[in-house]
Amino acid sequence: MSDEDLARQCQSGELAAFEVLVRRYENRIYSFIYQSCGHDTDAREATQDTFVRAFEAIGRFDPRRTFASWLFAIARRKGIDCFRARIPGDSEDMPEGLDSADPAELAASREEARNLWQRARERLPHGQFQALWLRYAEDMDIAQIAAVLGKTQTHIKVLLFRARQTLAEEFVPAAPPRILAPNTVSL
Amino acid sequence: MKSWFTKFRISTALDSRKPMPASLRQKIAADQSLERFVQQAEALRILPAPLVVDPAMHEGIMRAVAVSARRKEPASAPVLTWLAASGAMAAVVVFGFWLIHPDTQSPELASPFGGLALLVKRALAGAVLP
Repeated sequence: MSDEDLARQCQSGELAAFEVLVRRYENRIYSFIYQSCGHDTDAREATQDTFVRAFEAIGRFDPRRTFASWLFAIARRKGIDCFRARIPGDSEDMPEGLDSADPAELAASREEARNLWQRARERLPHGQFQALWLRYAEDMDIAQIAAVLGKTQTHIKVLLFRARQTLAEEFVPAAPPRILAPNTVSL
Repeated sequence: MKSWFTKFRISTALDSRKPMPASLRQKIAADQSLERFVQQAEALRILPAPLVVDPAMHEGIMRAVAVSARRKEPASAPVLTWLAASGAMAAVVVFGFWLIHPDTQSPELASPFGGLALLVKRALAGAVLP
């Protein structure tokens, strides 16, 4: 059953349908807020507030719209204090994800990604970071990101471009280690 | 400036979900800074391990939602409670009046229901007449 159908059931007062939506979205909303603010306790609180607000406002949801965009827009507003309170470089270590069973190679690339995203969070203004997260983690298109962040599509294109440019300029890949020829004598 | 514009075009092309135009691919191949720009953007596709909401947190969310649902429900209850209470009070007053004056001559006051009807009739007459 689609999110929008479930939302329609919630509008007629079915709490069970809302719980299905919570199960579908709780990890994604928590990740979005946590990745933006970097504080686990605040992110948990804002996640809970997001779902309570969504439940209270479900009567006003238009099922012709995408439920995901609508819910993420609420999450953005609920997490706004958390994002503002963010002090660059003052983030907690990211909670461990679900990678314990991953093969070593995937775990290594996840570790690299974790560092890249953590640095992105520390360096980018939160609007740019959120646009980037919604684009890559949520695979949203420009129109959906614009709906979540309450900006025009052109603005989103500019935000994504600036974020990518900052990352490309700041994080120049380390030079590969110099390999000495076998007959070279190092002192 | 030219490079800035090209990067913007690349950035937009990366979000368009269509294959990169050949002209842009050629430019990327010929310029190291453009190549790095694309590499960095592609590196973002690998995400950190997904965060998972633990069962306690899920329970917490659902408990908060249930509290909110209960808060929503009693919105109409105070009106109903008020109506029921005032109706009961009026009935008690009329019944008490009828008990005190059982030997009244008015046929309308011969029963408590008649008394209630008279009270309603007088109240309506008072509201309608100047």
